[in-house]
Amino acid sequence: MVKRKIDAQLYIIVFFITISIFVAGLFLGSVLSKNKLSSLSEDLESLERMRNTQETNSLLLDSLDEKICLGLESYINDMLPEIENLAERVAYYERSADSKRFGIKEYEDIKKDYNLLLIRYWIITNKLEKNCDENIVDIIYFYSNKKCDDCKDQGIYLDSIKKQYPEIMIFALDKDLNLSTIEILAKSFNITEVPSLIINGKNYSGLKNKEKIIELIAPESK
Amino acid sequence: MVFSSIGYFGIFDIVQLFCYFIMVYCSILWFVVFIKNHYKFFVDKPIKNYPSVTFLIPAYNEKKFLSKCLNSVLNLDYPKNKLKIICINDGSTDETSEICKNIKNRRVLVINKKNTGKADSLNIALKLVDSEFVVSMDADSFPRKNYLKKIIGHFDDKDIAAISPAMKINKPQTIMQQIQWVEYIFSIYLRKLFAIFDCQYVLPGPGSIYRTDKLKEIGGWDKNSLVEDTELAFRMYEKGYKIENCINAYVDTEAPEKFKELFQQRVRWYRGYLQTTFQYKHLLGNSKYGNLGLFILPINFVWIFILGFLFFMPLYMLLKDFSEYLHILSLVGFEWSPLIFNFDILYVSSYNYFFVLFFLMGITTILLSLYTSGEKIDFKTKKIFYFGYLFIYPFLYSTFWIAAVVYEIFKIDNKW
Repeated sequence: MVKRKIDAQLYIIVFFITISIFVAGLFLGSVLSKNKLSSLSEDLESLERMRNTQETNSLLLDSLDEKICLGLESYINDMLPEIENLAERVAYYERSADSKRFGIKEYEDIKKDYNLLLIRYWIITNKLEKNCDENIVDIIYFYSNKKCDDCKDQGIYLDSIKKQYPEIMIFALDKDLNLSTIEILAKSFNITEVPSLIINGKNYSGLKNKEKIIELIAPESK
Repeated sequence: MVFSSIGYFGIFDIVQLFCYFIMVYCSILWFVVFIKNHYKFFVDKPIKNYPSVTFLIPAYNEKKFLSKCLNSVLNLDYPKNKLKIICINDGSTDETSEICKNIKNRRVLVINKKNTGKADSLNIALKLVDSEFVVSMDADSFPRKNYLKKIIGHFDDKDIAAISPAMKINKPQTIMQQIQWVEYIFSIYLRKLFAIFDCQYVLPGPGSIYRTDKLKEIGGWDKNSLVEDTELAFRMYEKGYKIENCINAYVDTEAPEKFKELFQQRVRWYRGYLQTTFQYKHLLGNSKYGNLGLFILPINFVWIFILGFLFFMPLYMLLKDFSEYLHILSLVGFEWSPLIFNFDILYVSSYNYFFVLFFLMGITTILLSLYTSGEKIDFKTKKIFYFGYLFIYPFLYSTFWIAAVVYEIFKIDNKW
């Protein structure tokens, strides 16, 4: 009978090499997600700069007694593609597993800023509609990523509407964010549950399918 | 700090990471064993005096290859008076019997018998063997000219009971054979590492060589086993024998051409492996049996789990995506959305790190295997071989293992 040896030392060395490869992986993962987050916040920053310029322009036009509508219109039109692009990226990031793993706090801050930006933008669209005889169809969508079975379906309906009617503006606000601005908005429209929609200034609670939403947007067209 | 930034890992992630951990661990282990021992790989051992050797060639319906096999053994570069052949016609129903009848060589003994299977045929022939060493040579395999000279010197230790050769697929034509070609090249590398690590648990039918007295002592091959070559190796470990390997002794062997044949062969092999490990379960976790008992046999069970996981995980994801798609379809109907590809850092997942890692490890392993088996990369003519091995083989391999486990659990009859 041969005496068989056991390479215990080898097992241990290999274990530590493997562990270090995994730690390197985690490290890379966190670096990657930092980059993802900073790429999102770069988008946000550039939008903020744009907003700042446009807002200043509007104020300036107002103080010069020029036509404010021109300023508001360029505000809305210039920022729209950028906002829509960021909205897509935020949605993608939120679906990915990384958003649940790394940098959750940092992402929450970015998201708060992003939601504030959306609300500001929405205010301007209202202003444009009121003062300049423009007809803009806008939908505010209150959602939650927690305990909201209907939100996924509501999102699918809204995506489909956006695809079919690109001119409709849809602003998705996260009710979980505990953002006082969102709370004020929700309160003033009597919104207590998710999903909820505000279409042309009216509150509609609960899941609404595509046909229903189209009906709500343009009742006369039916 | 890295760990503080980890938020949430679900059970699925943990299982996945566990699988990846074992995969990386094993790869690193073999890589380290290679680095520490690579100088031993190609060493030829001197032959003192040419010992006598008998080749046992069991043949059941092997009309296609038997003559070629016999000729390659007869033409071996070895003293003629030290080499004998026993060809066992195991109740063949084709022209194998004619071929056996026409053998007019004094060094070849032919046994004609009823069909009782390979192990029994070998055992009947083993009783007649009076040489110091005995080789089992499948009839569809062809040892290269210097095979015996290369391998025999490795019996430099009384405890060595058996030595396995390096097998290569003979003239791979179909895609299945081409994938197997790479697999066999990899096996040459891995078998050597297993031998160095003292855990070689298979003694392949094409060209494994045994010390006759030791083989007789433990009673030859087990005719009740699905895989007599694996069972024999396990028994040798149980008895405390050593099993070596020689990568300079080549045997070319025929491989299944089509998926179906390959499937049947592999289900038999892997099922046989499962049966054998259960038969020798006292080796599992037993330090008396060294690295084999303590590490390789237990980790092989983990590997079977990993193969299942790696097979079902993508399938599950695919089904999940598909059902999600159906759900969207049911809500809003079909919508054409153009595919626009633009690179976004958001699309990069942290799991891609592992995919890159595994890809690099796969490439490294293929390169080391080619080095070990003396093959050139020859990418131009063999690119299908490599792509098949990297991208198709993992699915084939897991399919075979899953089938083997299922067949074994439900005792499904596997015709072969």
